[in-house]
Amino acid sequence: MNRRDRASSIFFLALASIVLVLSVWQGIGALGNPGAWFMPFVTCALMIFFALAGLSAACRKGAGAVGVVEAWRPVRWSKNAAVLAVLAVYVALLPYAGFLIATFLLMSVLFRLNALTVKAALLAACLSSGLAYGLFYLLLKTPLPRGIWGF
Amino acid sequence: MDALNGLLYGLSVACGASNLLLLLGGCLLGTLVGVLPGLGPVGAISILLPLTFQLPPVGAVIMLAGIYNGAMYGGSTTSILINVPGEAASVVTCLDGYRMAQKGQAGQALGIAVFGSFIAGTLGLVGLQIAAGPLSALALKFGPPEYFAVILLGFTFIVYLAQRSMIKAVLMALTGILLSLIGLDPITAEQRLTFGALHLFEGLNVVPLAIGLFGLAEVFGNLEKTASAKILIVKIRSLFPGRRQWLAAKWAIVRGSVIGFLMGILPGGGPVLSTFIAYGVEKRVSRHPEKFGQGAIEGVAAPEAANNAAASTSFIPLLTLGIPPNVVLAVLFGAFLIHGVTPGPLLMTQHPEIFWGVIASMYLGNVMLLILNLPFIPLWVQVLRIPDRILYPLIILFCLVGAYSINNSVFDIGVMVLFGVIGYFLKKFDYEAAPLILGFVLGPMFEVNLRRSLLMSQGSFGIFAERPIALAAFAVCAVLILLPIAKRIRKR
Amino acid sequence: MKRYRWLIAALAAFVAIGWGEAGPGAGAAYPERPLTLLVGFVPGGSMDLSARALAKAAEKILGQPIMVENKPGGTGTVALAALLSQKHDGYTLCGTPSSVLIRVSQQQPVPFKPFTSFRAVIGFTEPQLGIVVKSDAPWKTLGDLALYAAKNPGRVKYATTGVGSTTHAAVEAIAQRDRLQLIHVPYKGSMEALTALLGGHVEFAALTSELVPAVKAGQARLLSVMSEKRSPKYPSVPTLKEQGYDFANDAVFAVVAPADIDPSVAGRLEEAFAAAAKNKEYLETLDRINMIPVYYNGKAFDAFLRHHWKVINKSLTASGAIREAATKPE
Repeated sequence: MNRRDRASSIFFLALASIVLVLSVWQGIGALGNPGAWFMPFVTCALMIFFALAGLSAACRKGAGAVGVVEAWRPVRWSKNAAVLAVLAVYVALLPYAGFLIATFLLMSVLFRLNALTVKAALLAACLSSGLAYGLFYLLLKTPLPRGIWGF
Repeated sequence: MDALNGLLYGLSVACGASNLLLLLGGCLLGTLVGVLPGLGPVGAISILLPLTFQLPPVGAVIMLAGIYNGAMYGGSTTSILINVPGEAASVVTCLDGYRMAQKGQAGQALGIAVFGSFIAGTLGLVGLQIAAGPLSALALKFGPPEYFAVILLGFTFIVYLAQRSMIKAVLMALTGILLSLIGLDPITAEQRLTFGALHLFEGLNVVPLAIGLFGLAEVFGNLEKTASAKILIVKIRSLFPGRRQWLAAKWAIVRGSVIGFLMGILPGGGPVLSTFIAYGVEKRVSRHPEKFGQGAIEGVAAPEAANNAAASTSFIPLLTLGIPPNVVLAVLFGAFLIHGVTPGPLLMTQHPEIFWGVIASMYLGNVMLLILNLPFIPLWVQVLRIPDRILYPLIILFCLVGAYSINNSVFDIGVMVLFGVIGYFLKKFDYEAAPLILGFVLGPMFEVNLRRSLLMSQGSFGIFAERPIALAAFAVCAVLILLPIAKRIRKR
Repeated sequence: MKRYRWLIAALAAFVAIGWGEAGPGAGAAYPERPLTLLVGFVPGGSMDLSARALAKAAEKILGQPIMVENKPGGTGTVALAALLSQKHDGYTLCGTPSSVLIRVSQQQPVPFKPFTSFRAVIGFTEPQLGIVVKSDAPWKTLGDLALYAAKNPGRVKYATTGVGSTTHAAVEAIAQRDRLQLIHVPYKGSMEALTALLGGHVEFAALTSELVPAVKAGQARLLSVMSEKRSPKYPSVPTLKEQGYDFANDAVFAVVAPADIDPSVAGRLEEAFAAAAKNKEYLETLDRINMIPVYYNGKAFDAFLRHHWKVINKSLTASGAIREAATKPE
């Protein structure tokens, strides 16, 4: 039995069931005049069917399949978590600090996370955020977020 | 004016010194925005639009068409090098292009993409010139039932997109459809799955979604690898496709061109749909389908040919009917209007210099782009020599700016990051992202055309059987689904 | 976790900068730096093109460049919300169709009050709305079409630019008065609807400005226009009102500012945009993109909003699209 497949099938089953109930509750309309929730209903009904098929296949498959834990064992997921946290802060900060400052800070943290020395990280961050700013804002006139200081 | 005389006349217009310069400028800028993810031809054309007010109409349109074609050439570069698709039409290129780059064949992949684009673009133009009239009449025959049938046909190609589990691929496509339903209902404007968020009213955008699922997820997947699990540094082999690869890709390019050419006239998702179908067809006719997804050169050549041929044919509805089939051409349509030229059935007689000038300049543009792009290939390949610890933060920056610049929205960056995480987990659980994108792109068209058909027929499914084009498409669907099943049964 | 101490410090710095407040004091002579005009739709559409043309004319009068920034999303509401989130100093404006303030705000809850959050600088143009049939169709007038539809109940199909759009409301008004049973096939935007008409998938269509090139090219025939008065382009085509249907266009494109900007700045803007709307080049551009110039000052536009809010509310609730307005207007 493949535990990863079983877990993911159950996830899709749950997701589809919730949206299915929601769409029936909101009204799917009639066949001659399909309502707004007609398509979510059809999609979720099909998803439930295929998730069940996946579930039964996962339960039938013989031993030797990978478990849930193995996929994470040989990796440093903490680094991913750190990158993700930094990105979340970046998104929250961008409208206030503006593109140039926020990106400089983000890039210095990212380069530092990737084992560059502090000095090298700052230099690389300076270059990359400056180049991106020059290319997108000055050359291509993309209206990058300006922040409270106006740049 | 017949086609040949028209073309000669067009060449005489396009070869004027100022028009040539404008074309070159357009091609250069188009290549630049094509290589950068997110900021595509729409952004570039709308930025330049005010600048072209001073130009004569022919020059302005030639330049803008140059940008469009240039962007089509450049679009595959980041897909191949760093798995970041710049637009929906280059998602399929990621599948085998990025694998080729990982095997040290980035140069060959980029080379075949450029040559394939050139050949397909030129074939597409020849077709545009000969068959513009009949094709535009055919495009008008497509009502809601026909669209529905053709999109359903597109979905059956999931059979060939799936690398491993069929069930998982179908689940992914359905998830893609479900995600595409977020936002205001296109027919009744009711909110669906928006949770009241203003930014979700118009739904999620495909570019942040694709950048997250492919590019950022790949970065996450690589960052976590411990030193021992890292792949060996790839050795870059030859920069250009060799004889053997040419032979392998030859027919893929031709088939891709034909598919792209035919799908290109369909407004909406024509070019995107054509890349998925071209890929599926290659895998179907290939003698070694197992190589697809592992770096098969046909898997790069066919979709790249398809989207360039589709780019050429998408001009047909615009030039002959006055109907822009996609967002880029809608902006171009605006540019025509601003310059006092109305695209449509009268264009050829009222403004022959524009009609033929644009077509001739696209021929020239194709040659220019080939010459422009080839020297860049060795340069692009150097990107892969950048050490990982510098490359990955740069890719993240690329993804961020790409997601932002499509709509100038910080919200889209958040969407991109979220789908980066989702893409990471999908990989952990052995799900593939390509069918999800297919579902996402086709979902809205699938829905509105199904609902419009049912509205038109007052709820009867008979409407699909009454229409010959729709019926034919359904028949092909049935064959495509039943064939593999029959094969499997016979094996047992 | 010692390794990550620098990271925490960096995050702290991030946050500190985010909350820092700074800003130069307001200058004396407005405008002393470039202005930004937000547009809630993708580039190349009629809202975008007309706003750009107007901005170009207004730059010359204000003496400062006006940057047009597209912020598509939320059927035009994202840009209006973004306008309110910027400083209310008159340096950021927003170009919007009145329909976002009137229709969309009734169908969706929006984060602003349509009557009181904004003050209009100018209402400057409106699209050419009308009812068209294919040029080889047998109907020469709207009366012919209505008669045919009355004889064939439930068989005549028509395309519009979407459920609850102005074009849909117009046909509803016709169907209601003449007691017609029509099949509505909604499309996304005029282009798609026009394609369906030319392909013969519907009998007639209610369209916006995109109908002009099709009529010019002889692909379609214009039966009626939806403006208050006859269109200068088609003096022989009657309006819906003339034909006894109580319906007139409610979509006027406007430039708005936050309601609480300095009154002197607002005055300067109204004056400058009013002058810009007389610019010859701008009027030529409008003509090319098939838009009709109109003029509403701030006060007139406010009256327009309030009047049409009621009209639309009545039609939306009558058709069952909404039970009550999703947003309170003030």
